[in-house]
Amino acid sequence: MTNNPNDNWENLFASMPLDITPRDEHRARLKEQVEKTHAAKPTALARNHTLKNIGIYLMTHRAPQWTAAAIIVACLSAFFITNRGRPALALDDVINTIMNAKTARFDTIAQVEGLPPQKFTTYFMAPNRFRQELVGGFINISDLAAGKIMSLDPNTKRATVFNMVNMPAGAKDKKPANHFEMLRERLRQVQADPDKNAVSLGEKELDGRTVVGFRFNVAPAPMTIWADAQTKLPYRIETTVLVPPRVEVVMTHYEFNLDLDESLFSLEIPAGYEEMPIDVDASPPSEKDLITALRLGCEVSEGEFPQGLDVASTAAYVAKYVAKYVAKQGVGKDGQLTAEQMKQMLRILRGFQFSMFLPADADAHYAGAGAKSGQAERVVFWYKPAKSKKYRVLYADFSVRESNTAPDVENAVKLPSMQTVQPAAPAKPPAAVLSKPPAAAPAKPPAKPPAAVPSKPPAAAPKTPPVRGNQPNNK
Amino acid sequence: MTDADQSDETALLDDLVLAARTDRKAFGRLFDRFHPAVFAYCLRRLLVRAVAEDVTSEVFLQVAAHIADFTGVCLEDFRRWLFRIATNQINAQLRQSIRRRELLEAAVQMGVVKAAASTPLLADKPARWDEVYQALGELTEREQSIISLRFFAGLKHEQIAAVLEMKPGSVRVALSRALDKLRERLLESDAPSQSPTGGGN
Repeated sequence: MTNNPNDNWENLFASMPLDITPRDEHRARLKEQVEKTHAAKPTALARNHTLKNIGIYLMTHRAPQWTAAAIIVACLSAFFITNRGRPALALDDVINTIMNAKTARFDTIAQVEGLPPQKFTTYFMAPNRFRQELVGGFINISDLAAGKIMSLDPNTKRATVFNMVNMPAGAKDKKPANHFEMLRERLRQVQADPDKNAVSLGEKELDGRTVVGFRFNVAPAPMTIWADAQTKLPYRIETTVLVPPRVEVVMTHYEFNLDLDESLFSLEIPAGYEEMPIDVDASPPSEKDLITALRLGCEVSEGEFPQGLDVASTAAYVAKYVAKYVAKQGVGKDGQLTAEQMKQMLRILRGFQFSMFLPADADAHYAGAGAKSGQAERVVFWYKPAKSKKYRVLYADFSVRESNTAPDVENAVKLPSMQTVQPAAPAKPPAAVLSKPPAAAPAKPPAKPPAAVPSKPPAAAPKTPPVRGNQPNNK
Repeated sequence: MTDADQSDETALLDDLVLAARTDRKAFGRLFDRFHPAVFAYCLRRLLVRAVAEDVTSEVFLQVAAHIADFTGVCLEDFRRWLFRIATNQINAQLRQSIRRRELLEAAVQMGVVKAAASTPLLADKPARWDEVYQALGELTEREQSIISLRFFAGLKHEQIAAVLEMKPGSVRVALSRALDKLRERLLESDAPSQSPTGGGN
């Protein structure tokens, strides 16, 4: 008898007198059947996801790399605070290594509540170039100094190039445009205000290395950072955005100062790709933009205003707008949204960004649920501009009046501010979600997953893919 | 295969899982990869090839119908989901004692389980496969699932824990207890097998 009883059971069951080879005919027939089911079933759901995705993504991510950068900065701030007095993880070492980093790479899994997770790998090259590789071979390359973002769709061979226009003077050279300068700035802020609520999580093993964890309870997105105890660099950062819709983001497999090929960040149109240039207004959105967005939305929604100005409501509203707009005009010859349609979509999104990124002290409220356009006495929105003592009140006939006091409207909702980091880049649709035009049907929330579907993302992060030098990555 | 190769392959398979939600070809490749394992798992539990083929079909049709809602992001997530569906389907088949008895009788008649099971676990006592299956059927559904996922599907404790939504430590303990019970039942049973009947859950 062997020492391990399980080995005996293993041997016993391995000796079962059963031929477990599947019959080829059954396998082939079943494959045909399941592929048909696959083709028939998921399309509608996938389209709904796409519709909602367009809105949610754009509402929350002016540019994906900026969101990631903001989170990293905030997490590292927490890291700094909690490590004061811990010689094993000296602050100076951390700062110096990061400040001197010329390149970086990390993996991200972002899960918006009710939507499939998005997985992508981000590459950074100083001073401010980024590359994101998404599932399906979609690639976003951005160079904020050049004012360009390029999205490559390997299926249609379309290279959509977003040219930022009307960028505020000096924005291209502004220090926070550099990922690591932004980090330094944030660290300085933390040093000035160390009384934050941070909790040490101790040490643990992660992917074969010892990491030290800290929980940083910062609203609206508490974060946990796991730093490599030896290298003193962050290895995994987890954060959850608690403002609906809930977004869980895990960034992991950080690597610094890799030997990255310049071609990874090239903004040249790859051979075989057709360029679709789109000018994007990069100036800060204004009240006028919000009014335009609401007016455009009402035109295709029988005069109805959005149910809310939160991310989920506006996402659904924008998706509905795009669907109707596309239904009326059709799509481009390649089956994709035309440049004009994308511009129109960006226009309405820009408007909603105005209300979302107002500072908290603007005291912004929305009361438009159920309102119909043209109702001259119906208040739908109000806020207090910076340095102003008066409120700006928007009515359902799109007129704006000033008031010394905030309107007293039943069921008005105070808008949470998403202004955590002042973004400098304009709204840009992600390549992946714009790969297909939206269906000409109103967006519905995605169906509830079946009971057997795992409800939580995995604890284990995906493996880091190898560095690739070729520009488009048609994996 | 080196660690780097392994890492590359894992990353590619993770991407395949994500692409399979909407890409028919990618889904087909996932099917090719997992069909033999799922069929083997079904057959080892259900014994009768035709029934195992039917259940395997049910499993993959269910997966195809719901893949768009699948929220996992990597191969391990997909494996967990797939084997959870397979386990549920198999248990639903076996939940009826009549069905279980019929399957075992059919397997005996077809000679599938007539060979002797030889193992030092039972000392010198000879056992037959129909006895092993009968004893297995007398365990609780969860115990049967744990043993099956471990020895019929070849999953590790952590993977079984993910499929059954248990803690890995609990799986280890439950597996050990279930095997002890199985062994006791086999030692208690008469050498010439009684007619195969299903036990309680």
